[in-house]
Amino acid sequence: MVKLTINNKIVEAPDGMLLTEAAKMAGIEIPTLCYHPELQPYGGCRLCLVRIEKMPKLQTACTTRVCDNMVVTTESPEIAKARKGMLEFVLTYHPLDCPICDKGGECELQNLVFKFGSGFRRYAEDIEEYTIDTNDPLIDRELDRCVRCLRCVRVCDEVQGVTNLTAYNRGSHTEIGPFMGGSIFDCEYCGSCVAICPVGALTSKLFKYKARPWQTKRTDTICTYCGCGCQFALETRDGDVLRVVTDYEKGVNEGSLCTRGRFGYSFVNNKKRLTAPLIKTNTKLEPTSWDEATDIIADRFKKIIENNGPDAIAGIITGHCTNEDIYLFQKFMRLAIGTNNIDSAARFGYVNAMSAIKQVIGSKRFEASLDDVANADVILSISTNITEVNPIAGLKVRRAAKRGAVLIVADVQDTDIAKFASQNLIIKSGSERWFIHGLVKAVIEKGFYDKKIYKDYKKFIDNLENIVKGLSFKEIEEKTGISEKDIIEAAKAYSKAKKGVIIFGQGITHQQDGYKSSLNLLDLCIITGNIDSKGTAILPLCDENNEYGALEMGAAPEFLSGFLNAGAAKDREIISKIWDKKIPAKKGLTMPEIFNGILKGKIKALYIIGENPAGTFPQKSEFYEALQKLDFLVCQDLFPTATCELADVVLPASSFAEKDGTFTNMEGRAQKIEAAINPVGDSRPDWQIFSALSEKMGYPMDYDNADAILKEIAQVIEGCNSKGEGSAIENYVKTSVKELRAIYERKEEKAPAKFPFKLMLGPVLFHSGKLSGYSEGPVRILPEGRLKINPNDADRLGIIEGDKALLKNANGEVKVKVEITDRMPEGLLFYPEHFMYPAVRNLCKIDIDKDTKANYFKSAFVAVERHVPEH
Amino acid sequence: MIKFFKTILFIDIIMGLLLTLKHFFMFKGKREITIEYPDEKKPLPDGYRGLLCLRRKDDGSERCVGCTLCEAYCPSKCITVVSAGAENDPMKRYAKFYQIDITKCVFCGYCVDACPVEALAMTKRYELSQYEKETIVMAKDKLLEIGDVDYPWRKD
Amino acid sequence: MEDTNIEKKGYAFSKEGMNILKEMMKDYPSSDALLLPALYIAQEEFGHLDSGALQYVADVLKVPRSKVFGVATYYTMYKTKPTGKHLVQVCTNLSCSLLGADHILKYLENKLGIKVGETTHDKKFTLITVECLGSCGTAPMMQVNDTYYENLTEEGIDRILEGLK
Repeated sequence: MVKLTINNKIVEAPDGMLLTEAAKMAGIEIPTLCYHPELQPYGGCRLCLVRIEKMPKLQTACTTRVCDNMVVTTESPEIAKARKGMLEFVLTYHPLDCPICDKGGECELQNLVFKFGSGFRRYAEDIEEYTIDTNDPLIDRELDRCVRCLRCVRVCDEVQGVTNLTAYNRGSHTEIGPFMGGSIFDCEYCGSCVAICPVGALTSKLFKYKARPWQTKRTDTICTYCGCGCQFALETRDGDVLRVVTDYEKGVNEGSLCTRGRFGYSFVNNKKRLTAPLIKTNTKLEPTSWDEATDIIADRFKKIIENNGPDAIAGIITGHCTNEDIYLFQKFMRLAIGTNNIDSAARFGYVNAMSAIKQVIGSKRFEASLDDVANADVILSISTNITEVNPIAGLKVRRAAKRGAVLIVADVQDTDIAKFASQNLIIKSGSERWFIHGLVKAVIEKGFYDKKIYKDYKKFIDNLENIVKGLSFKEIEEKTGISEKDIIEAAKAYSKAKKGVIIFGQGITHQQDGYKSSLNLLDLCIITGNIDSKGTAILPLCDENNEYGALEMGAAPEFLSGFLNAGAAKDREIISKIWDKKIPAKKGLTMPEIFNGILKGKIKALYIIGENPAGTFPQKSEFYEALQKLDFLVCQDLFPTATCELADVVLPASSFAEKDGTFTNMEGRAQKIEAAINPVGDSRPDWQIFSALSEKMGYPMDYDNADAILKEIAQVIEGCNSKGEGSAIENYVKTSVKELRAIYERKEEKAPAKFPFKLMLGPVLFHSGKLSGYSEGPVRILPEGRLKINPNDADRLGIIEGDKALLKNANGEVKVKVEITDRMPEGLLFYPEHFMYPAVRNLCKIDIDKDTKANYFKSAFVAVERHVPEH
Repeated sequence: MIKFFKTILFIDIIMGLLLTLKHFFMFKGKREITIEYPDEKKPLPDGYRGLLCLRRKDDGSERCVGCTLCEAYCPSKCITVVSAGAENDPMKRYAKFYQIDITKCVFCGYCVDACPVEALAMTKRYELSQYEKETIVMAKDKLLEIGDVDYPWRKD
Repeated sequence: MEDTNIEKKGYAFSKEGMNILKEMMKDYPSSDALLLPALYIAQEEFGHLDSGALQYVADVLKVPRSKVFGVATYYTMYKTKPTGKHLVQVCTNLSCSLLGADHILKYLENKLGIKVGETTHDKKFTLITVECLGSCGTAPMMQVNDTYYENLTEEGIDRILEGLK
């Protein structure tokens, strides 16, 4: 701490702090334009000039660091004159088109001129002509308004690490733009440049001319796209969501957002939204009243319970619902219906990771924070294109890597984050397990394991050693394409880490044996001592924003609220006591079992909330057929999906912008969302629908608001925690050799000779699930899917950029547009999973995990040929 | 003493009545005091703050750019503006929806002061009472119509 | 500046150029710092710095391409547009202007039949104006490629241009 005097006021500030910040701390405002707390000092606008004693001339406060006995004056006629002069300089070329400018009302320059400027310019020469470009799909560039503070260029480089924007030309000719000054930004479209621009030089096309900042209502809430759980605020006016804004240093995202968060909000006001309950009359869906719709559902459910028992009804809920919705849904299914046949979107893979973590860590609440990632010294990122799937988590990794952390990236393709990596390991698709086992083997055989852990868990490590002995590095290299040296180097780096973090994504969780692979990674954590100590973390990435919440609330047949075991009578007892009604003991069915049950005629009715199996399952699969066989299908969704068309009753639900509640992100952090607008049309928040239905079913669950449900959840989950047995590692390490051996089994998948290419479906940066397809922003950037293919493969097939390729296998054939990229290894194809058409998903088949019954349908073996258009 | 006589002889009252009598016989058109509203109307001074209207440019296009400053400045919150970008020209801003609720308007003229493009102006119209309130909640087309009459633009 | 289509192929440093770059890499702390010499080599080898050349330099140095673009357009000695064989740079700063740089410029324009910033049809001459070249004592002056021509007169210019053809 140093002591300095600012305006005769003695201020104490930490050493090395910038003068602007120290003054702000003391409540003294120094005007700034180019300064931003998130960015490195720049000193470009020279508005923060102050007088520092014993220093010649006026000094810029935003680049000067405080030191002891500094005497600073921030207000004097001399400084006021300097400010006025600087503002006049800034205004030399700045057009005074504030009435039209979108920034009017929140423009920093406008405020500064009001406060300090003269509002009069002496410069009377011809004004330069600057680029005005509105060709980009999302960002308008009007460089006559630019004040060259370079905040956008700096945020693009320093914070986002993209470095797409640059300042080109020099002096008063300086302009801002992407490479070669092109009109299309062609970047990650995080929108940080738009948000940070102090004037109206960079503006969002989606918000353009829509409203003034004082006209909008601001509601702090949480993003609904991925598992990062970024905090932002919705600005609304008359029921329309107009834009998304963030506050610097707020939430896990610390003010940053990805393109989906920043520009993907307009699905809320999409015209296609369901606005009234629909019931099927003859073969058409007709609008009806809530009362009638719920009556029909309750009647049919009651009849089915009477005839076939409660277990003939099943429910599936999406991971986009709030905790309150999910909690009430599973309570509704378990008590009002009386069945454990509940599942959620987590069954598509996330359940693998969470089951494994629960197995090792026990009923203690799993928490790994993104701050751990940002502060880690070694990060092992496995099988995830993290900057695309969970961009904000990717940002933390980037930040750590830029800070100097060792980053080891292992994925089947060359990813964006790899440019920051110290080791970029491209493993062959399907060989992830070999790679992980290779790491375990290297740690054990080279003696990298934690010595203290070895003392405690000697038996466990010896067992593991026995198991991995059978696997040679040669075999690993053959399967994964990674040399022994590289694996040992990676294993060494990770095991020597003080704050080692493992991040793994869909390549592990959404693949066959995802549960076992997750356990293997946890083993790696245990033996290197990176599991319990502070700063270490193992973080499975999740795709939907509340998959963690879905599992924690108990929307799974094996879990009750708070990850309690639904199979254990003791655990059921805990919750039954709070609920005051017995939870059915019969084991529930998981998602694939539900669909099998339908085929066998055991399940008669299905209640689907927010999921769209008819649109996501391959059309030739049995599961797709099962949907047609149902006696009664209730669909509750925002949009009329393919599943809704099959439904007997369709209920319109409210989106995240229209309801209160909480989302739990992948760190296990529950965050509050708030209703920004009234429900669109006649839609209702999901929990209100369950509440209304439960009343008609004869088990009323009446709550005043979402908060009342949260209170009950807190009661239930606290009840679980106090009874939880804490860390279960002690138990886990006692796993017998035989069981361990099973966990370390490897199965190879071989491409059939006829279909040599492996096709992967996965998420991309600009979209998330199917929801983003209803938003204008993401659709503008990426309106259609493109098949990514290696240039060598493309050459061999005679495909050039822009061509269409024909994908073929036993399940059918699809024509898709091609994007040739050397990021894909040979023999591997990638297609975004978000697009309904062309229906590439139909080529896949459904695999079911033996351990957790997770169902995978995101990969297929196909043959590719060039599609010759008919003329 | 004089005061005493004045009081008992009702001098003041007589003087007053004489004035009244003088005005009673005054002829119309000479020094007119009573204006026979509504048959006659008082001439209004320049700068009279009457009904608001929207003006056009000389080429016939609207002056209003939808900057929303009038709405922000209005003390009685009677103006509603929804701005938008023109479809054919992405750089053009205009008011998609413009409405003045005359029932709330206090005719202070702040909005005219605030308008940076001189799109808003005040006319000398003041007889605004209607049987139905809705008819004096004025939307953009109506305001433009009034503007066309009171502030005619030069047609070339 | 609208040319964002990058032709990746066809851009490669010659062996000598690459060697010079590699030699220099030892002396520079980071590849960012090597940007200026690398761009200079690129300009020598490719004639001028178009999008392909900039992209190539970015790829070689592993520096974001937008940064390379920013640097290349900042310095006037990097040519981002194709020029004729002889780049005629006329100083129009204070001393030269006082001594008739405007006249010199007009004369050159007439003589070459082009305006400032243009190239002759035979691709021989490109005429541009520049700021002070530090030869005020011998103003007016111009620089053709790397050579200074000072104390210019109309006859002098005729002679110089003759000599260049």
